[in-house]
Amino acid sequence: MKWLIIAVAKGRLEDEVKKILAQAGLGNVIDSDSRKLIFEDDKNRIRYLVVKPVDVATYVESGVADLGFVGKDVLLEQEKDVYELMDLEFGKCIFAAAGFPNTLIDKGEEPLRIATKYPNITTNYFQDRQKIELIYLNGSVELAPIVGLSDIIVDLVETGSTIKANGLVILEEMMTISARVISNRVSYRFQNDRIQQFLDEVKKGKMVYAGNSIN
Amino acid sequence: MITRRRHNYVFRTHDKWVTTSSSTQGLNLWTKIDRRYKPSSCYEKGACVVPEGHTGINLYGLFIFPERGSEKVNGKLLQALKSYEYKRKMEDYVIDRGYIPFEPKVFEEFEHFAIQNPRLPREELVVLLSGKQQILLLRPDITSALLKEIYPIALKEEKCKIFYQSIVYRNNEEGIKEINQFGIENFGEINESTEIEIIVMAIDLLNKQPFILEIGHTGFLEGLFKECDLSKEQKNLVKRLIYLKNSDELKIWSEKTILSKEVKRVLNELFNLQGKGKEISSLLTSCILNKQMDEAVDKILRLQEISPNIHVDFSIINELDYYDGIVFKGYYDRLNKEVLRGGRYKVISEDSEKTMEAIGFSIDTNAWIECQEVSYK
Repeated sequence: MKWLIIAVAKGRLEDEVKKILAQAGLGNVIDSDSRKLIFEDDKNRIRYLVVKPVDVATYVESGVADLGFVGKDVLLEQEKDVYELMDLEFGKCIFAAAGFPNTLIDKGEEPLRIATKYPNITTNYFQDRQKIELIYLNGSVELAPIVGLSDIIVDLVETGSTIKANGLVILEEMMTISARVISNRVSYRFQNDRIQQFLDEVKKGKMVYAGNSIN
Repeated sequence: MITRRRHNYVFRTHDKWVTTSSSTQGLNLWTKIDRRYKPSSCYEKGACVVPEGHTGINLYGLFIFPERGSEKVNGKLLQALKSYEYKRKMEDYVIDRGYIPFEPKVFEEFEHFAIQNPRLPREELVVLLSGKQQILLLRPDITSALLKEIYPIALKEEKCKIFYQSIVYRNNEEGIKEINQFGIENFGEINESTEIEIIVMAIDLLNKQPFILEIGHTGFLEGLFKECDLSKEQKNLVKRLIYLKNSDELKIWSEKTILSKEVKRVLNELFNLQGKGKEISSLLTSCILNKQMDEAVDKILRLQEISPNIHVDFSIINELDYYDGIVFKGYYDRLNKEVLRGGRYKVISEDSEKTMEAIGFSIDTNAWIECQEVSYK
């Protein structure tokens, strides 16, 4: 039997993916404390690659991995040509536009200056609505409005505590984000039976994990 | 240069290619030539043996070079030779079936192209300025050139079968990308036997390695859309979700949209309507809601009888919307995306209301060549 290769996003999602896999009866082969990047589940012939979240879709699109566990934020930002087979409904957070209270988003002719790590999502969201000037930052975007670099920020908000701590508020909730299972377009054809079987098991694991009964 | 090594040589005589092997001395090689292939013309008119790894031409148009496999042929040149041979094979195959070569022009007029193709992102186009300050594009696709140059001929002749072996140019993050494409197009009256001919040709070109040819029909989804009252935006959203095989978001969307129970059921089953036709035939039958869907299913189930490598997929969606009828995509296991894509479409002329039927496919030439020599275990 051919190995099924699955890329898993390191960090925030990793722990929850591991719990779901354990609930799905797929064991617990990923050791987060180890410095290893590849983990093999001999029994089920599954190989897990633990990679940075922004790289998961690249591994899957290129066909190096058949499947991947990744956040919808990465998918929306990168727009890779992969299939989005399942919504895992965990790792939920929102994309939001934030700034000082009462900041005007719809400024008309004058461009709105937005600092963000997510230029593609931001551009698409404001495309037919408001002229914008993008300021790409790699982190600590909350600083931008404070120091006058931008009017607002667009960022992923989990608890909202960082925004609040810096005196900013959510001006607009843009969309909800959660973890997804993605697939390579060719693997989806050639490994369809195994992928469907894996998805069925993950679905069971997801329901047990969410505390639902699956009678 | 005369070598003392033993080699196979390929010669071009006056009218054909021939091979011979040298013996231990180059001199013997010459004798052999003399004896076998017009000795006096070869020898006396100054035939020469070129250094290994080079291609030569003498005053009288005689080529002599070491045959493939000779240890000193440069790897890159050998690859180029192989690639050339594969391209020739593709071309010979379609020429034998009555397809005429078409050489699309390298430049397109920007204005004309942009109006015809509003959905292609502008940043992908490679823009040039002519000496007369005219804005031109490096050929971004073959279809535009085809429609401009071949369609008028096809209209006049009422049918036309062409092929192309060409390059299209697109900008991407790394710079200008050259995409090698081979394709065939058949204009005129298209019936089921034409569809079968095209599918058989696609299979013949793919079958050197294990492959899947997936076929679907645009009539299935269009028929389904007829059962619900959706805006253009809603249809585009549904198509996008289907393209991504995003069943969860499609389910959420269908639950909060006013749709009949039947349509919701079909949308729910849509991603199960793929694979081997026989295995899903009863499910398929239960998902037919009108005549258009019925005809689509009927046609695809008939066509899939052509080969066991054909899989059906009623959720097949193409990036481009112009297909009307059967659509298909060919996959090799070792590639990360489809190697072949095609289908049936209608061509509408710019200046009149005439339409013409057409069917064809294109192959990503480099990806295809890459897969031809791989040995599978």
